[in-house]
Amino acid sequence: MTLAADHTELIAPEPSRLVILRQVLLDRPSTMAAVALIGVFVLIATFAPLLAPYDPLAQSYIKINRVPSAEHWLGTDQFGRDVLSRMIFGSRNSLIIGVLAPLLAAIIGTTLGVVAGFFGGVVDRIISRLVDLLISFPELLLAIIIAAALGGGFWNIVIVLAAAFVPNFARVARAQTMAVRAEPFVEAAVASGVTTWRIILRHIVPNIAAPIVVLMTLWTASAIRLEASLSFLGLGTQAPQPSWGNIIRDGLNNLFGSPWPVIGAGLAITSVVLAFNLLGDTIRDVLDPETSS
Amino acid sequence: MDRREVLKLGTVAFAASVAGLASSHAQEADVLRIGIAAARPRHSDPNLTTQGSDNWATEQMYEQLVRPDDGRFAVKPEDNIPTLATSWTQSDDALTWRFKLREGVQFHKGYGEMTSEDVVFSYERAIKNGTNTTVMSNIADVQPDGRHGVVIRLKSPDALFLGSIAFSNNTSIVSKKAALEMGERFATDAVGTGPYELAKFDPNGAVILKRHEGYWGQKAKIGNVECLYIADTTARTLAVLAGKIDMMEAVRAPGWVDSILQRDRTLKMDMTAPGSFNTLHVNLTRQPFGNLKVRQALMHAINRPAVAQALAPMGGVLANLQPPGFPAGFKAEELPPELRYAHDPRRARQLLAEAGFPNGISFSANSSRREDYASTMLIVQEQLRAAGFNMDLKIGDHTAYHADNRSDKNTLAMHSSSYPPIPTQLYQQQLAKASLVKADGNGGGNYSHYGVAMPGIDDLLDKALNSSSFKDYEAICRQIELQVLRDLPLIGLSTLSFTVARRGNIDLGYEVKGGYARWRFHRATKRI
Repeated sequence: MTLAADHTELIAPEPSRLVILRQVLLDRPSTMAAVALIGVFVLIATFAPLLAPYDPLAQSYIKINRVPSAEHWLGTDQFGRDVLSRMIFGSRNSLIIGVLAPLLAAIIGTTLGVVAGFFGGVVDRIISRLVDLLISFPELLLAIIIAAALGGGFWNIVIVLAAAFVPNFARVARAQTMAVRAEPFVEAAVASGVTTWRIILRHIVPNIAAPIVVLMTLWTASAIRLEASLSFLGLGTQAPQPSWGNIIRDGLNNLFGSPWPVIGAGLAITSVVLAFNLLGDTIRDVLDPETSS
Repeated sequence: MDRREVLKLGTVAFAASVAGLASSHAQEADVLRIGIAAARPRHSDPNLTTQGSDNWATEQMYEQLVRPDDGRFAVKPEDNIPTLATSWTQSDDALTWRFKLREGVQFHKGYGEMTSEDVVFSYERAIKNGTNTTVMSNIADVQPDGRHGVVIRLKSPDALFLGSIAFSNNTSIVSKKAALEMGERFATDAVGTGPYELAKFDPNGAVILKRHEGYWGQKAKIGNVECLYIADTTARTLAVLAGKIDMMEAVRAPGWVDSILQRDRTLKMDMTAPGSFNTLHVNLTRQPFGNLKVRQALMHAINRPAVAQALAPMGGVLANLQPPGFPAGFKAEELPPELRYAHDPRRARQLLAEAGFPNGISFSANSSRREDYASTMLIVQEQLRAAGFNMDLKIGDHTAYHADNRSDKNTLAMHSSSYPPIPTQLYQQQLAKASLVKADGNGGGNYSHYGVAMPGIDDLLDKALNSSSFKDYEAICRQIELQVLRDLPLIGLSTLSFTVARRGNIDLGYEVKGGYARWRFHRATKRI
């Protein structure tokens, strides 16, 4: 008799999650559309240099604030830069930050949450109070405070947004860890002398992964929205680098002459955020059926 | 209530509303509203204003001994016209200035007649404290000469005294009695002699003025002026388009004028020329900018006419530091060929290579987020990129930007300031050794370290300041300009007109051509 053999028998056989995911995708056309849209934006971001008709930074003083034309589909901005090219290159910032920030937040937040939930006691109290403190600020406010202190720039925004998201991940991870920790298979592992870190990595983390992945998808949408907000406020992506947020900001200067930069970038943000939210909902339904409505 | 009563009530209500409309119509015609580009007012004492926008109110409330005509600078001494002084004489050495004061000038709010005592008081307080003590320090003493005369003696000659000192914010004549009576409260409770007097200073965002009925000259035509502080550019623009305000401080960004005119063709643009002088300080202590070849490359890389053109119609081309038409202002073709620095990215790359940077150079610089700074620096950044200069631009808060510049934290520091046609003021503030920037923030506006990192123009500046004739003065200033073009510590990027968008039904009563970033409304009329 080996404990390991018993352990494997404790896990009930389930249909593969991939199979369920494929079924749900087929069942829900809205999710299909969302996935397709995200796919299109990923392609645009990947092949930006090939797709953009102009250099997104090249200025032209004779073509300031042009309305849309065959030459410039979304017109030009106050420096005579092609708005469409800026939007295409701006999608890179939005998507990369949108994925990186929640990923980083998930790694740090989950670590904190698991440590707090698993060890309890003083460690838990310190981490939990810290998380309570951070969570009492709305994400945007927290992001603005940190961005104002750190300044703009690509990596700073990733750090700012990750920091703003960490408390949410930590809280979920802690609650899940506490639930999983009470499961018999964890107790069995403890009783058989498996090291703490091995228990955490092999038994806890895989079992709390589902809600964390759901959170990541949902926060991707928020990260894109917050990056746009910060850039709009001048705290995010720094000029002259394009981002959807600062395209709207620049567009406001000439809102009366041509509203197309604002409308175009606004639509891009709305559709990507909507798509990630729809996808997030679906993934939640698949991975975490208990919490779905 | 029967039907007849309802009808009667309705008729009365209608009549009342029509009457109300008519009276509000009449009231509207007697108020002039201007949208100010700042969040809230700070001072109404002209000796203390640090926020340029506050001077829209002070300009209406105060006067000096002499002023140029409305909407322009006095380019020559004889362009000054009698205001609170009726006549004046200058000694041959330009050291002693005698003024005969206008009789019967009344202060606001019943503070009585202006006399020589008030003038002496106003000058003495500006010498002691306030925002212009450096320039004021040239005054040796101010003495009354009877009830209606003053004598001002200078330490060194100043042939341009009327423009450099007599017509400035700081030497506005205030009531001695009011200032002593109010003490610190005077900072926000103005008493002057101008065509409008202060009705209400609201620190949350408005300065309200009303006509000074006891004004010595032609009384203001519109009874009330409201200076409303609307910092957000979009909100201010919408307010003027909707007619909530009659005028607004413009957004000085590329394309803004065209954009708002597209929306409303009847708007009028009042612009000062030259307006602000936008200069670029090259920090000589940050390598490789200590190398003259690198600075020459920089000069060839920057397309100065294009910077001005991008800001059209507000931008003006600078061939050197003073605009053409001002004393010591050159046109490009008047300069020796080697000092014209035509836009030539290839020549810039070649100079960089000669300086030992065949692959170009990378450096970082700060810019303010304010639209005129940010847009100019973004244009410069793009021009430099084409010539091998990779400038990483950090754009931040306006106040913090100036504080950082003052603490020697910038490499290429843009500075925007408006000057009267007195070239030495710019040299004193931005080039003189005495104004050297210091890391602790207590230095001056010489961000390039010119005169310390390398020999500067200090000797010539002393000579100019001590010249007793305008002709000598201008000749020395021209020498300074040429030396600056050879050494390149400071680059004149462009001028930028100070601009106000005005609704078509407002007539200022004169045309704005030049002057400081503020002008008077006493001749304005409004059609409803």
